[in-house]
Amino acid sequence: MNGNDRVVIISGVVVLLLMLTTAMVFRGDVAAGIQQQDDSVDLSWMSDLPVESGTDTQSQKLNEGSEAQFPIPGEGRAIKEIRATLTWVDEPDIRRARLYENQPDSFTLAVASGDGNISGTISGANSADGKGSLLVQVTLTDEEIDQFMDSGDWSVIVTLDTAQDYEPRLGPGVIVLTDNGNDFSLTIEYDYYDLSPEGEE
Amino acid sequence: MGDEFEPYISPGKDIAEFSLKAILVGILITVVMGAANAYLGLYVGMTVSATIPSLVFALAILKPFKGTILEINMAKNIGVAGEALAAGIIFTFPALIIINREFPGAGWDQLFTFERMLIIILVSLVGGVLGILFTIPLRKVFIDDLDLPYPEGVAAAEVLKTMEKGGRGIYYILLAAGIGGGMKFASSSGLSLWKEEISGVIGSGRARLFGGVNISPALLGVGYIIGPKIALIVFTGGILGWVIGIPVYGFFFGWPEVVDSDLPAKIASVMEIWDTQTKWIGIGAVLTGGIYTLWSMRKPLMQSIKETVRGKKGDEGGPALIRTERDFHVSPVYLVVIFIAVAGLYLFITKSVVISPILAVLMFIATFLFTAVAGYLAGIVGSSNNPISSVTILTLMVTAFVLLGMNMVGISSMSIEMGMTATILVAAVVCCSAAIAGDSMQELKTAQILGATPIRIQWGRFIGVAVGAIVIPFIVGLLASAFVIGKPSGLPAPQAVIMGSTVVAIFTGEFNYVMFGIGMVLAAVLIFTKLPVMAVAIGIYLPFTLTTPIFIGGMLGWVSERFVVMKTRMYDTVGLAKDQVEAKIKDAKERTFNVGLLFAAGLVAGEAITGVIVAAIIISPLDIKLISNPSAIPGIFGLVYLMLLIIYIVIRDDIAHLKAPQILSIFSKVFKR
Repeated sequence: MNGNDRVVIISGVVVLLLMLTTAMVFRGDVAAGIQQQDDSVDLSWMSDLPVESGTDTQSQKLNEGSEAQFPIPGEGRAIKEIRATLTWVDEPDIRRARLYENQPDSFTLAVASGDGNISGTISGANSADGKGSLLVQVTLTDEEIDQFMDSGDWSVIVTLDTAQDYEPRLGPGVIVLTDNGNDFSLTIEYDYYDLSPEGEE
Repeated sequence: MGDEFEPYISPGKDIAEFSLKAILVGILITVVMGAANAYLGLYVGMTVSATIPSLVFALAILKPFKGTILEINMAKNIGVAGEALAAGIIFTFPALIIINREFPGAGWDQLFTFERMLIIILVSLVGGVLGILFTIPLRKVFIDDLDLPYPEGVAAAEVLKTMEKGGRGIYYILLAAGIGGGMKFASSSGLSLWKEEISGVIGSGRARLFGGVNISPALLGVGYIIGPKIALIVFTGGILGWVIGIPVYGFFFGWPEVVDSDLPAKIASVMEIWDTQTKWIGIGAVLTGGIYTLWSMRKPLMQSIKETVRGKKGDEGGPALIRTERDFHVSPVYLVVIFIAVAGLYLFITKSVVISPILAVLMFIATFLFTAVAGYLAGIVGSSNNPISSVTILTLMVTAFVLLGMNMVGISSMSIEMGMTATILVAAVVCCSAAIAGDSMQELKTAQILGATPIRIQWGRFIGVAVGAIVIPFIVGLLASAFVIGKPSGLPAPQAVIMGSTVVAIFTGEFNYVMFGIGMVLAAVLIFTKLPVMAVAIGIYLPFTLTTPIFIGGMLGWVSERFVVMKTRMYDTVGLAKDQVEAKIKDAKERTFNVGLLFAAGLVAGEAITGVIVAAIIISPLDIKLISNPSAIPGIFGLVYLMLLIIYIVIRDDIAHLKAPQILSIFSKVFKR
């Protein structure tokens, strides 16, 4: 080790200390913490109320491009979490002179608050075996629960984006076999605080 | 060279070579270098030569145990197989994820399941083994008879002969690995002390400009290794794609609004234009460049096939008389067994008794042709410049068109997803095989110079391939589970995206024709102006934040080399004749480049191995993040220090006896013409 090496090592240690210091000074979550203290709200009411749960199951047929909407009552409630599970089975392949494969159908599943400020969306197609499922889970922070309590109905929206037609496995298609739509099953589970006078008792 | 060539260890002297300790060290190096290159290849689409770092590792571990030069060479020979196989694996298998993204029915949403791991292991093992077997008859033809230069093989032998006498190489590698690994572990994907990347968009309305830099020690290392010229060309590609292409597109056609993105709106908009538009310029340029590369090499390519056929006719198979001429005997039975095994594997995947043997035949023909091509081209242009991805793209195009053709005329009926999957799995064997073939020929050249025993080298290759084929798929699967493959914010995996997108484009006929066409025209212009089209195309494709540190690494190499040249001219060549001065400068350049190379390789290895560890932590329930929203500033400090450190390490010996004013005086001349 020569004199230059020592300078380089000492510089390295200084830079390392500088890096650690700046990491602590410039981190974004420090600023967020200060903000939170300034705007703090009283969330103690949550600890006074038990968490209730509700479930709703729906089945329906949708045509390509259409949508169905299912409300979750928000009156007198503070929604904590919503889980919406959509399942469907696409029609099976058709065997004529040759095999026509039913191409996957695509759904979009969305959950939205009454004012649309909180939402979750997912889209997807069924797999090769025809089975498809989508899950949207919206979990509110304590601040959001407080902000959105008693603010109207939430909704779960199911859209059949595309119901793709049948396509021959071998070569170009001459006969057109269409797939216009699909049945689906929807399960909505939600957790909430009951704000009604009965609930508060 | 031929019969009169006298190797370093005489054929009559049989010293320890294929020993247990050499094999164990070789296996360790295979794992380390395979992991490093798998990570790096998925990150920036480049793999770095593992030869010199492997040599240093082997030497450092085996020397205290009285390892002979041939044992050290054997450990390196086994170890570098991991690097070559990693390239074959990462260029192809992640393409299945890209395909699956558009066709979920393909069933390759991830790689990390038992069945898929088994398929990848078997396919890469077959590719690697064929890459060794098909090059065995080529040894006599390409190395003994034609005496091809094999630059990396010769360099490795010379470095080994020199390093055996002692050196500080291992310290440089370990120091750099510690820095590279430490910075990766402390950054946003690990402890989250600082952001890994700083990027932003300046401007408003339609006129916007994107820029940024990734704080990656490995990318500085890559830039140093590939050198200032290639680094500059890759960066030029980045400028074309990201600083000119995307803003021009955004200005004339508008900036898309992206919902559901974790990125700031303006950056998400830039990424959307890259994903849907300018990425296709890169793909068009890469495909055109690849086809042109093969066309420009058509003469040596035909020559290699001719020599291969001649070599096979003259191959008597039996053991040679002297040790340095003994090869592994390639029995046709082995090839038949492999063919049946591959056909069985394809049958398992495609469930078609018609398609599977046709795929196996296609795979065998392409593998035979392209191992010969790769073996020959490695001898002329070196393994690093071997157009492995070009031959793979050609293979997948031919396979895709054959499968489509068979479907159209009714020979087979296979779903589009199966067709695309089968195409990638054929190309994967060819890619692994070609990568191993070029690498094997370099090893056999080193063996010739050192006086190693070819049959032992070939057995060592089999061990390296077997270990690599088991370990690397797990590493790639792990990385693919932890990071999003094919996205700038994850692991961009350029080659795999290009392979996947090409296959989807061929099978569906749907791709961005306009941008693809612009890429082809751009490639034609680059070819016409004699610029390396593939390097520019990769630059267009890669996220700009990655090409920036690569460029900086290349420039650090340039500055260090210029400094050493200036210092040698000013202080070490006084009173010498012109030819002596030039010889001194050449020596100084080589010496300092090798020091930098070891340090750069250490940065790459350290960050890459830590990247794999971080990937394992990400998919585990462990949360090691210390700061939820870190700043990039600490990383910038670290990057600047590391840049200065690289220059210092390279010029360290040259400035040891100089005073500060003298050093500053030399630096002042570095930037003068």
